[in-house]
Amino acid sequence: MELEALIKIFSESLEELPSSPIDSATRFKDLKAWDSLAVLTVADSVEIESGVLLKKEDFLESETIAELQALILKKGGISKG
Amino acid sequence: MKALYIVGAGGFGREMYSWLQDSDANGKEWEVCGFLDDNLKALEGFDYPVSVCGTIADHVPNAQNLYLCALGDRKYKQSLCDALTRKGAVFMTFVHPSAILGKNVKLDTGVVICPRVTLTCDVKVGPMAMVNCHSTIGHDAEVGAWSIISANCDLTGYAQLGEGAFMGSGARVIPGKKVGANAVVGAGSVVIRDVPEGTTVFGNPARSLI
Repeated sequence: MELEALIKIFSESLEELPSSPIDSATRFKDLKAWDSLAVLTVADSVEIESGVLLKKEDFLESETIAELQALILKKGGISKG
Repeated sequence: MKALYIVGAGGFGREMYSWLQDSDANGKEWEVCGFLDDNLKALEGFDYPVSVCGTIADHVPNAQNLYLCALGDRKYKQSLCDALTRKGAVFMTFVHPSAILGKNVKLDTGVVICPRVTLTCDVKVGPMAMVNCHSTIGHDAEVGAWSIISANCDLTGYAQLGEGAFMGSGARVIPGKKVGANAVVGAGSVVIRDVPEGTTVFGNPARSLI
């Protein structure tokens, strides 16, 4: 899955966008709008886009969007875009 | 007193006949005189004191009649009711006495609110929309014209249901999400993201079927 696609998913999944733009270094857990619904929406969007089913542990292991992307790729995620 | 015709003698039409009996206006402002349905045998086998008086297509409205839309099929609802309106039919808005309406709830012409529906506050419901039993519409939500909300649905705060959209039984839309015009939300689905116009979504979380 492309990094840009994952950043787009994060941007669309958050109820309130942060004051600074979301990028690969964004620590998503620090975002004010990062809540259980955002986790669910991101996980569902990633599954639709890449076929990878993210689990709770995956979000716990990753700090930044780049780290989460690396994990998705490691799990065999492909870009459908 | 006006003569009230229920437009549609299918399952929802028969339900509407029951709910209308509970209204304080029944027998005072209007009285159900019968059903209109293109299937003249729609009530065969059912015990009702009124019958199917004629087809929707052939009916000629007059000023002493009122009409209530009880067509549950969104494909035909608008075209059939529009045809009657063009001939002069006046559709009434019906709110069952058990429904709960909060402050600043605006219901447009022809809206049907079934038993035990809750519309909290600052809700707008567009013309000819229907909300079936036990559903809840949250604050600041908007329900589009001709849309159908089945029983036990939850359209939460700031959510929007587009014109002609359909929510199947038990469907939910989380706060602030928009269901586009003529979209379909399958029974039991939970909408967590906006649904584009004309799309069918299903499941939890709801996903597009196409």
